[in-house]
Amino acid sequence: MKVFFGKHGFILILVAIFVLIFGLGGVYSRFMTSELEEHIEENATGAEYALYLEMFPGADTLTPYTPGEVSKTYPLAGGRGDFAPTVDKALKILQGTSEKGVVYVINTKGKEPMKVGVGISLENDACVGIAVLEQNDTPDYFSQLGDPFYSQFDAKALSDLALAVDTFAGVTYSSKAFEIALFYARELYAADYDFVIPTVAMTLVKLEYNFDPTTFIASPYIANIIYGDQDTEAAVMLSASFDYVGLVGGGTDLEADFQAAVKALAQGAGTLNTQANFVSFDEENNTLVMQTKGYNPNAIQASIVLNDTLDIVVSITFVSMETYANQGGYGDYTGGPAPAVENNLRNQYLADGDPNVDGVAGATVSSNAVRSLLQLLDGFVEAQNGGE
Amino acid sequence: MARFAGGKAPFLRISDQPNQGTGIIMRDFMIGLAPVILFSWYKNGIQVMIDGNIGFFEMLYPLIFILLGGLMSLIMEGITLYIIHPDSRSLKGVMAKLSTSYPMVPGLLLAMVLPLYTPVWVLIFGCFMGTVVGKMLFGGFGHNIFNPALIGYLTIAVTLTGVINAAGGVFNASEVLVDSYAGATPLTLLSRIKELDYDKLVAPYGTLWNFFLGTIPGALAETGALAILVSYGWLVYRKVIKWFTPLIYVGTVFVLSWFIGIASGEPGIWFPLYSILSGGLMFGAVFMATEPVTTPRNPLGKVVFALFLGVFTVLFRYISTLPEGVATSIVFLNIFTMPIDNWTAVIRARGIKKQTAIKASVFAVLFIALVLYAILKAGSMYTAFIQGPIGIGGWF
Repeated sequence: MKVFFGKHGFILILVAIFVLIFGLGGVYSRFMTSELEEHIEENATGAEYALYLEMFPGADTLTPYTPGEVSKTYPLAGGRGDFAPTVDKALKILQGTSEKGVVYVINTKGKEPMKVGVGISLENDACVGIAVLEQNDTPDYFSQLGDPFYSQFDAKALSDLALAVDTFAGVTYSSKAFEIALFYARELYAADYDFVIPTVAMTLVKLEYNFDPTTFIASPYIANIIYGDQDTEAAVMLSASFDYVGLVGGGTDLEADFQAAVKALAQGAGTLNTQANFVSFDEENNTLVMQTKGYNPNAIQASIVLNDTLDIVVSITFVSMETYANQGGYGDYTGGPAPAVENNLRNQYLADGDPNVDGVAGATVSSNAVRSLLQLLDGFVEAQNGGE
Repeated sequence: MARFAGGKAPFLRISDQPNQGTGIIMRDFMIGLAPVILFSWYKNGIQVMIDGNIGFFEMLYPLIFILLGGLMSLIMEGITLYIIHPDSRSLKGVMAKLSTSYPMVPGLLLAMVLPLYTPVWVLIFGCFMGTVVGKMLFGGFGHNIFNPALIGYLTIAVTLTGVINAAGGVFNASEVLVDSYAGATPLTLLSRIKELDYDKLVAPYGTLWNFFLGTIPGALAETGALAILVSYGWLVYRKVIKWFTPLIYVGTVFVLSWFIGIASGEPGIWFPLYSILSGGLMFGAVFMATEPVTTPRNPLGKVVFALFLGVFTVLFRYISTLPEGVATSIVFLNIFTMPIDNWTAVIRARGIKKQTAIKASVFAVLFIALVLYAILKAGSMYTAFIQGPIGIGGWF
């Protein structure tokens, strides 16, 4: 043995060092990688927390806590069914030892899943800010949400019955995500703190399109409601953002609480497709202008000529349309340039009168947009009842 | 005209004189590496700890990693010598061979051109490929054809890049937090956007001054142009390397890049400066293109070698899947070291005469053809160049 080590000891030591370095080096490398991941996460968390602290001037500390369990569902924009938001985490915001507010990080959904942080002040029970942490909505649309949109969350009283988010024109899906987050945050806040969500006795019986050409521009929707202690029935005209406009046929306006309630109920109903709307109506020429939103922020606009009794569509001409080129959603589209998709669907409708036309392969979003327009148009034509 | 040593005999071998031997060269070379190693440690360790983004043991990692590279190469060469030389299976015998074979250099250089978060086992694998396969299987020091460190580097680049990226990649813990870097080194960015735009290629990293200082993302030691210049000065002063080899290499890339910039409608000097200060060009020019065994030995050969290196580096940067062209071009030209050396030795000894004119012409024609091809290939990367008034991009 002594002779063996005398002869080969040197190489054995070299091999031992090699193995030692291999093992310890592996541990060191693994340590470095895990530390790096931790640093990145810490930094991301730090940046996120800085956003929350900005919402509460003077605040200096955040403390995670477990919020109360709240299960609610809300309708998604575009009639895509209901969605149940979840809370990712909740943080108490402190100034020294004094609790100033709370932030709920909520998984909501616009066109795609979105994660936002909603800051609520304990001093006045108001939303004081909202921070977008993750979102995957269509960039062309989402980027339109600027300061004017976000500033509405800077001091939004949770006692407001409607608590509605003013949607940015054409960015309905993403706007809805913020509204869902805000509603859900209010529910969480009510479960965690001494706050009561205001309620009004009202039932939304029916929400439908307004097909009266004299009023449908300013009031595209009509809500049939039953409200108050006396179960009073009313038909209410609503704006594109579901704001109260007035009663159908005139009369004394509803009280402010009921106006807010009807807006909240109409917004939450999610039963109407708000993708298409009327733009104008030329009574002399029986020409209706409508628009709808597809993949592209530029609306698809159509000029529709009707017969004298307004119950037959004579022609549909697209005056502005979707741009197919350079749009991420048109990867599989192999048809002609715009307005090929629009014309295809129009021709189907004019041929058989059915607004539920077949979409064009590879242009699903544009097809859905045009289909919505045709369905609304068809509803309008049917509602004219022979022009009577 | 033939050149012979003048003066009276006897002629003594300089390497046999005190303070002039291989050991001294190795010592000077290691001293030359020191500024770059220290810069690498400062940039990826000390500064990051000062930024508050890492702890003490993470701060030590860059230095330990580089030294480990050298140590692993030494151990592997020792083990290999033990195995292939039964007559010297003793500490003394192995040490005698190691003392004249620069055993730590391949590992040190390899570690310096790898990303910070390269796992140690990957480094060991690279050391094995460099030292055992690239050096010892060819017969050891003085017999290897290819630069051993670059054999290790290229093997890793081809096979284990994904492993390195998964372990953390090239960005240190401070750089990884900089949004403007967008997860890309300067050359990776160029290969991604394929557009000559100062605001897109340089501005995300600061200014060209940052490129010169080396405070930009990149492999461990390759970004420190200033530190590399300090090393260059030392190595030239100590006559370890010839001053003109790195200068011609970098100069060729500079001129070619400038021409590409002009042809692309971007005549500013920022692009050639960006080209020579990005990636491992400076590092490769000083520490690898001057390697005594795998590059030509006569001065004219070194000039030709450096010129071709410059052209191939530009070419590989634009046609290869790897954004960096230095390693590939050096290893590729290592193959031609012997013919370049032989031909240029003849040309140098006899001058341009009938017998040597053909050889010189071959070099010249090859060089010009490659320059044109490199410019065209690089130009085809840029729309401005293809559609520009010159229009030569349309030839191919």
